[in-house]
Amino acid sequence: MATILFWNINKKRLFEEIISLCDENEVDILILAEAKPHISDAEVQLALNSGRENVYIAPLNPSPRLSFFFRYPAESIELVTDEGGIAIRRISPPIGIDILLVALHLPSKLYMTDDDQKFQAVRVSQLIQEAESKVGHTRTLVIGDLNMNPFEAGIVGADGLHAVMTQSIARKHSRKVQGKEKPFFYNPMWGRMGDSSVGAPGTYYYAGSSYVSYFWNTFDQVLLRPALLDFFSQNDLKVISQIGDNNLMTENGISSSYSDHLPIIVKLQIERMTQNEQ
Amino acid sequence: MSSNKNLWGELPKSENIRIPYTILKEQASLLTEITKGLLIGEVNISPEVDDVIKLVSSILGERSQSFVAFLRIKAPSLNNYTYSVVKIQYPIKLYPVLVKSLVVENFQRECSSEEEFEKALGQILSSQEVKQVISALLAQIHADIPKQ
Repeated sequence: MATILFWNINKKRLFEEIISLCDENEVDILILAEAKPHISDAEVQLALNSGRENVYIAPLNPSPRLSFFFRYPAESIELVTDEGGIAIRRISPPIGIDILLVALHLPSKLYMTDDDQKFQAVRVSQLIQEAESKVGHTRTLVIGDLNMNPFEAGIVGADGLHAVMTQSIARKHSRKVQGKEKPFFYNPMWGRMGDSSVGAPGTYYYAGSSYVSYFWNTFDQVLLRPALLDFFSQNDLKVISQIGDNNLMTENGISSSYSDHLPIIVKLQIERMTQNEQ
Repeated sequence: MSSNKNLWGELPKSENIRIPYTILKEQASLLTEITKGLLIGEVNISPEVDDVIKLVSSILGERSQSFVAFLRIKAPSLNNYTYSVVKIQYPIKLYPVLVKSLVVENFQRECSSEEEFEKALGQILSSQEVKQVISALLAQIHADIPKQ
C-alpha cells in the first residue's frame, strides 16, 4: 500500500503534527505546500528522521512551491515536470509498477479571477497529458490544494481537469467534446462535502461576507485516472481532522493553532499492480 | 477610372520587429549553447489555453486575442525533465506583454516595449533562484555521467 499525505501548512512550523501524521498513518510520500521558503526541506527532513529507523529522503526537488519527502529509495523517484505550483513525479515503488504523481498548489482566489483559474486548470491538464505521453501510461494520481471546489469549472470542465463525480462515468475513460477526446479523472472529493461527508465537511473554512459563501470548501483534493480505480477504495481516502488527541477543527471551522487547511491522505494498493494491469 | 492611391501609408518594416516569442526563443537557444546541450531551453506555446482565451474573448468581447508561451529548461539526460521558468502573455499587437516568473512568487511585470520586456526577462533569468535550479540540475547530470 502506498500512502500519500498532502498538507498545506500555511507557513507554520507544524513539525510535531507532521511527524505524528506520518507515524499514525505510515506515510510513504509526504507532500507539503506553503512550507518553502519559510521552512526548508532540510528542517522537515531532520525532524521526520529524528530517532527513526525508516528514514524519509528528500531528493532533488526544484519545485518552488511544493516539498516532497519519500520513504522509498532514491531510484524510485523520477522528476518529470515542474511549473510553478505543478510538480509531476514518476514513482516506481519497490513492489508494483510505476505511477505518475501530480502534486498541485494552484493560486488562490486572492490572486486569480475565476477565469484565470479556469485557464490555469487547462494548463495543468496539458502538462499532465504531456507527462502521460512521456511515460506511456495514464496511471495518474493528482493530489493537492487546487484552490477550487470539485464543482468549479476548472475541475469539471472538459479542457480543465475533467474530473467527474462517479466511478462509472470515469471508467468510460473519455468523452468527445467538439470533436476531441477529453480524458476523465475520477473525483472522490464529491463525497467529502457538507454534512453527508465521510469526515470533515470540507478542507478549508472561510466565512466570507459576500452574497455567495460556501463556508466549507473542499479545495484540497485527490483525483484518479480510471487506470487506478481498481486499486483505490473509498475507505482509503480521508480528510484528517484529528492528529493524536488534537482536534484540528473547532465548532466554527478549523483551529487557528494549526494550518488553515486540513490534511488529506490517500492509500493506493500499488503492490497489487502488475505488468498485466498496464 | 480606378484609383491606385495608397491608403495604407508607410507600413513598418517587419524585420525590425522582434516579437516577445522570438526574444524568448533566443534566450532558450542561448541556454542550450552555454550549457553545451546538457540543458536545453525550449519555448512551449499553450494552444489550448490560447483557444480558451479566444473563445472567452469572443463571447465576452473583453480582450483581444492573446498568445501565451512558457520558457522551459529541459534536461535530456534526466529523462527529459522540464522546469518552467517564465510565462509570457501578449496580444496580437505584441505589447504590452505580461511577464511572470514561475520560480519567484509574485514577480510579474507588464512591459510596454521590447526594452522593458528584455529587462524584466533578464531579472528573472539571472535571479538567484533560477541559478540554483540550473546548478542543481547540472550537478545531478554530472553525478550521473560515468567518470572515465
